[in-house]
Amino acid sequence: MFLRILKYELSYWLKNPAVYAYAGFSFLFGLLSVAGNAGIFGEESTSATTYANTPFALYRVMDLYFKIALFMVPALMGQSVYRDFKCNGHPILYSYPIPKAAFLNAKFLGAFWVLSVIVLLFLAGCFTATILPGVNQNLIVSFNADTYVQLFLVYLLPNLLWFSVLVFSVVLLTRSLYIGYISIVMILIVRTLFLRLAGSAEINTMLLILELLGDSATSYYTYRWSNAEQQILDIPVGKFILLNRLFWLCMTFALSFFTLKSFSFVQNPAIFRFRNKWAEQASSSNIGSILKLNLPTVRYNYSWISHIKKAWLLSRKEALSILRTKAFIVLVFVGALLVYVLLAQMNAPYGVRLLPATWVMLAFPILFFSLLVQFITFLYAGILVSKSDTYRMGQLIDSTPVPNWTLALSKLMALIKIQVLLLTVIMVLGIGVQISQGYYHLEFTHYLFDLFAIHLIGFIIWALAALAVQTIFTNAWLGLFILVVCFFGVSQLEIIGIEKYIYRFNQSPFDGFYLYYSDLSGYGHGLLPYFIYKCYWLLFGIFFFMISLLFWRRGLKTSFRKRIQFAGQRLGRTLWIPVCLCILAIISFGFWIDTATIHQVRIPTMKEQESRYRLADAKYALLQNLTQPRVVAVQVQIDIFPDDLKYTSTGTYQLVNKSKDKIDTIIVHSSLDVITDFTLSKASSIIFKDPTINLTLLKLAKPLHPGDSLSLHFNIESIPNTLFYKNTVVEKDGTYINALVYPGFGYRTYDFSAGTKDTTAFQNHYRSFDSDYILFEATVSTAEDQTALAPGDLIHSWQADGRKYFQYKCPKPVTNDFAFVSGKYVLTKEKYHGIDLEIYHHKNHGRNVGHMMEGLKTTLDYCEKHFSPYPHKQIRIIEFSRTIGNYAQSFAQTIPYSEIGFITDIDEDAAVGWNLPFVGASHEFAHQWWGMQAIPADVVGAKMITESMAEFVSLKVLEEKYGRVKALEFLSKSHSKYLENSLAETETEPALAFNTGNEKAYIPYQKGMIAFNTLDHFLGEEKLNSALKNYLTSVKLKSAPYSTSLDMLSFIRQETSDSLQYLIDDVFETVTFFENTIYDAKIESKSGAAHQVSFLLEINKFRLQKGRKERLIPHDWVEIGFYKKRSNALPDTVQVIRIDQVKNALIFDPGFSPEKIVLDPNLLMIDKNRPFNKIEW
Amino acid sequence: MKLDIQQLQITYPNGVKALDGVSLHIGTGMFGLLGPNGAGKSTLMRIIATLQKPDAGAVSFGDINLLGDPMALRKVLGYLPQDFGVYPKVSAESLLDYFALLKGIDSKADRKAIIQEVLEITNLFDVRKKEVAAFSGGMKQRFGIAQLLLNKPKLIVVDEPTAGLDPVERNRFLNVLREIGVENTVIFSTHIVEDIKDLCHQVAILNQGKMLLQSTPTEAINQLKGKIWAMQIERQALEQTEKAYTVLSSKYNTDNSIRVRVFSESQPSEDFIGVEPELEDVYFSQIRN
Repeated sequence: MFLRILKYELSYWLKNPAVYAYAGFSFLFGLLSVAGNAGIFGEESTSATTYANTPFALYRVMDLYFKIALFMVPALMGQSVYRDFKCNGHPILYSYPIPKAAFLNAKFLGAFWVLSVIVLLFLAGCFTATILPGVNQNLIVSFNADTYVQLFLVYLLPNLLWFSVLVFSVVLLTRSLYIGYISIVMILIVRTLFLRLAGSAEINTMLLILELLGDSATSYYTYRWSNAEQQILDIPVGKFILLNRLFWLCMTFALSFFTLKSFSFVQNPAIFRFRNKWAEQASSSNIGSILKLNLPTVRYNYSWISHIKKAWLLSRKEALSILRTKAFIVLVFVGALLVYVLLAQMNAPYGVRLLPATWVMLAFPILFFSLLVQFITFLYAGILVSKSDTYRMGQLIDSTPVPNWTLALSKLMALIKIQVLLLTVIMVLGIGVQISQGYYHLEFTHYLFDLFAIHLIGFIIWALAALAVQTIFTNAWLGLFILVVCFFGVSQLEIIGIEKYIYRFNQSPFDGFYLYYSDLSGYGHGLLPYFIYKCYWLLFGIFFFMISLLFWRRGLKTSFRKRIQFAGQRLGRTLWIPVCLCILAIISFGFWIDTATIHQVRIPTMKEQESRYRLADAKYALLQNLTQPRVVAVQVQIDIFPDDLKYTSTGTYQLVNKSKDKIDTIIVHSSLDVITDFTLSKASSIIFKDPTINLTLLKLAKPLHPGDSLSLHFNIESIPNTLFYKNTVVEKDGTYINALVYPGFGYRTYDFSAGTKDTTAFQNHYRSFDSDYILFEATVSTAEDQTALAPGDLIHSWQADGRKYFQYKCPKPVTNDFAFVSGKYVLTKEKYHGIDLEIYHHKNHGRNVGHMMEGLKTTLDYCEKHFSPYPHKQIRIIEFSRTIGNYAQSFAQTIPYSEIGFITDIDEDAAVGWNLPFVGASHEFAHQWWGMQAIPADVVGAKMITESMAEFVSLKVLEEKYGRVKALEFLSKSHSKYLENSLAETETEPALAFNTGNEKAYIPYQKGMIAFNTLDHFLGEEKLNSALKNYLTSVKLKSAPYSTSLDMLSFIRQETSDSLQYLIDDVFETVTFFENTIYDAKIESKSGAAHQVSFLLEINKFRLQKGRKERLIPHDWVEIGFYKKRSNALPDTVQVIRIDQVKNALIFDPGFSPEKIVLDPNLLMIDKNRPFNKIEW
Repeated sequence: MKLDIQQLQITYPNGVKALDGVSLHIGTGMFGLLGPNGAGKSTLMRIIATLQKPDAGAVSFGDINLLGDPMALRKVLGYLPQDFGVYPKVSAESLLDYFALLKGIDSKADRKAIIQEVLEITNLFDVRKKEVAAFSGGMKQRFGIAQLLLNKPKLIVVDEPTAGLDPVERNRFLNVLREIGVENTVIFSTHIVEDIKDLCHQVAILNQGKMLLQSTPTEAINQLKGKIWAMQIERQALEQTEKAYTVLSSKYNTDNSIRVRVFSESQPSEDFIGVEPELEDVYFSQIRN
């Protein structure tokens, strides 16, 4: 019997065309993913090699594949049982003398075989990709069957089995296929929720075992793999992976057993029988005797307006039919729960909590929730379209005088109503979170606009597409799958070389602009082009709607060929005019967008600029040896027009030939972001111009003798914005313009980098290569309701012609780097130790100003005490729009600070969460010493003197202000961030003293802080700071040659005892790290208060040498912290020992029985094993 | 208005000729369409109900060309298919509201008025708040009539509506149909002869896609006058009798003897006695041919 059913099932599936669609998809997914990674689409090769078919790379592809493949599970497993219910065959079938187990097993295995083969085809696709002609064979490692076998047996098969059993059971017991689908989505959501909630805690073994897909257990073994290790290592089948798999295998069998037990051959579902008011059978006596038919007079209206009205009324019923289902309610509830957790945690994006501002409430849930909205749209489009068929009501409906378009429109409207409802959920949740967190600045219009103007339109376009797909395919589950694949597919079009947005369905280049909403400048310029693109895609939507009408099913079911024939007839009869018009509109609109985006003026993107500069480097590299006069004074006038989003500027540079040679050639380069026009004060002629990089070479009629001066006068104008492109940095409010838009002198290659021994590079400091120190003066004008700021003292301000003018002058020479900020500000001002502390901020952003003020004060105290006096009379922090960026920068007495710092949510009492405004203000203020007094040479390692010190100072003042626990937390964040980036490093990681600054910021920032902190700990604050002070004094405001990181380290080495010199080698001059373990810990209580704590310590020390990890014998000071209580954040006793070997058996008596011991409690070592280096009792 | 069906032809992809040159002319009143299962009745009904297109032929109702302008016909059509389902968890009232919308009543008050009336007519008013999906077979058929009435149809197509109804339900159901049939054209398909007997002004017999007869019941019966003969036989003699005569029907008596009715121009043998022909004899005699 079993075999007979199995055979029948298999032959059923093999005749099902959908199976071949799934199989084809699986194969192509594997093929295209791996071939894409192996460069078949001709992507630019990145600097490092990432192989396409290593175990880790395949694991990643598989991970993504499986999540999409999950949608095939109900289609096969669910369908295998649902078929019987659907055709109402189950009452007959169940009355046959079939053994229950044989029946279920055969049905299950039949579908599961097919599913397994489909999944195997995915692996086959992956493999085929590696032998495909056209792939880059350098990105392919040789074939290893074990990899595929492992992926299949460890991940794909058990996961597939679990989901198959689950869906099979759910469908069998509820007799509803779509609950099978929803249960999968639900499980994925719950899993995310679970990971989210557990993610905030530390790694725990429960999570590793309980996580459904085995991802967590795998990442337990792989998360500290560096990029290089990912290329060569096999994924281990470790203990936790096995335990996890075992656990879920047991769950699978338990569920199978339960299903087998609770299923019985009865007509109605066995479980999930809720109390149902409908369930009572209604009865009524029959019609009386002969009756008289006398129907009231009613109006029948068949006008098209009436049809639209009817569609609207019908849609209400359609929408209600969805809303009433429990599955929908539960799905939305679970989704909402996840969004609530996301919102309430709200610590993801910047490692800090943000205030629950409206845009925050909107930006983050929409990313997740939109997936749910899409899924629901795709699913219910199918359910609504096939509903009359499902419930066998089609003949009644189809014989009524209602046009097809009214029916289609009613389904569309119902989908939109559901979407509106779901979006309203976001709004309600957002407001709920805001109120629960005591944030009462509710912006309803912002909610409504963002959700229903910006997002809804995109969902409607998908609803139209879904309607068409679901109409064409009679199998709603195949339709759903196709839509899911299309949805993920269109976001990947760029990868296969389709870059133009007019070909990328429902995408627009400005899709993410709402994420950059600013309280100062709103959505910014992206709004208009966004809607232009959406209108374009809406035309496609209308086209899809007509496709739906062409293929609308009415009357008796017919073959696909017949339906195409019908569609042709319908097209020929009535629809050809609108279809043609629609196609015409799409083509002309698309053509217009295409032409406009090509021809409208836009500034080159960063990437384009980079390639232009690199190209130029090949031609002009020699120019960098030409000696140039140096800028000694800058005088600028800038007019900012916030309403018109533009600015103009004029100014003069004074230059002096500081060299010993005559100069006859002047190289002027100006920014690609503006239109620049300049004249030299001395007669000159142009030798040549390169407009691709705005480079001009001029020959002076008479050479400039040493000591002679020259001036350059310039006019700058921002490039006008166009419909599609924003070309200026000016915002309505919170504009921030930096000095990079101004012209400069000399030629410098794009990725100029000089070593610490390159003495010619010592002639320039890190901030500008055409000047040393300059006299700076600026007049800034802006709109009447704004305040404009620039470095320097405010000399004078006035109003004229409805505009405000501000004149600034730096009393002392400063580096040639400046910025202008303009906005509608509220000023908070304090005088502290004779210095004006000023914070300019948006009127609603006063919450964190106090913290910033504190940051300024403590930093001023700390730096003046330990390093040198602050040279200016005031310091200003000025808020700028986050549309421009999420960062802060320091200029002479001026710190432009992104909005983001003003809206972080600080809870000083909370045990976790650190104070970004305080730390940020402190960091930037510290640059007034480290970066503006100590000015390093333009060589590698410069940022160790500036950024590392600024980070270190902010850590020290944080500890002073908030205590050790917060400081450790800050340090721990730096550790994690450093390790995370270090692992992801695709090149050889440079040492801190030789860091290359901008592109590997994690070294000067995070590692720099760790390094100085470790030194501070072992040397003592006094010693380290006196070394730093000596260094600062020796270099302060000195002109060329400038100092390097090695100069700074030599000052530190002088203060360092011989036994600690190794630390400077380890943390500053090399990349040295540990993989430590503490284990086998025992406590033996002796008499009285004596306790013996014994444990084993493994100190594995490594150093990166020529890109390879090499083991060192440890000779290090190591600390062990003993905690009386497990919950204590700080150790009660710390033991310091010198370790000289890898394995160490140690015994201590901390004087109490510890509940926790931690290796390196003060976070002094760079330890990749840190999360595991504690023992708790 | 007259329903005019000419030379309908339809062949299914599996080669079955569901309708093979069927022509019919149907006026006001009840029209009964008799035929065994699989005769093509439902196909014919579906074509009239605009749900299916014939391969060839023409159908018109009054001046409506059904195949060219199905929407015009749907406005005056009431159709009750042989087997239909309903959306779950929807009350009778709400589902009728849905159909009233589909049938073109866009005013809420109008819908309410007519729904109330059709509920009364079909005696479903008391259960209007109950789920239709939970209705008994008879109630569901009455619901079918209720929805059918919503557009005051001129042409009513009901496909085997009495199958599965108990005698009382069936009887009353037919009464409603009859009432509707007073002023309108009602086409009523069944394989139960008795449904037609008392009810229909006209009758047609369809078998294997061919129209065998179109007539009034009385006339059809009259044609068989003096040609129907009956006899009591034993069970064992049945095969032999069937070989020897054109047996129209055979029924068991309570004593296990069988009563056979045969068709014959003259008395087949002395054992047979002449009986009054019935509509059933017409039906069986047509199908036998």
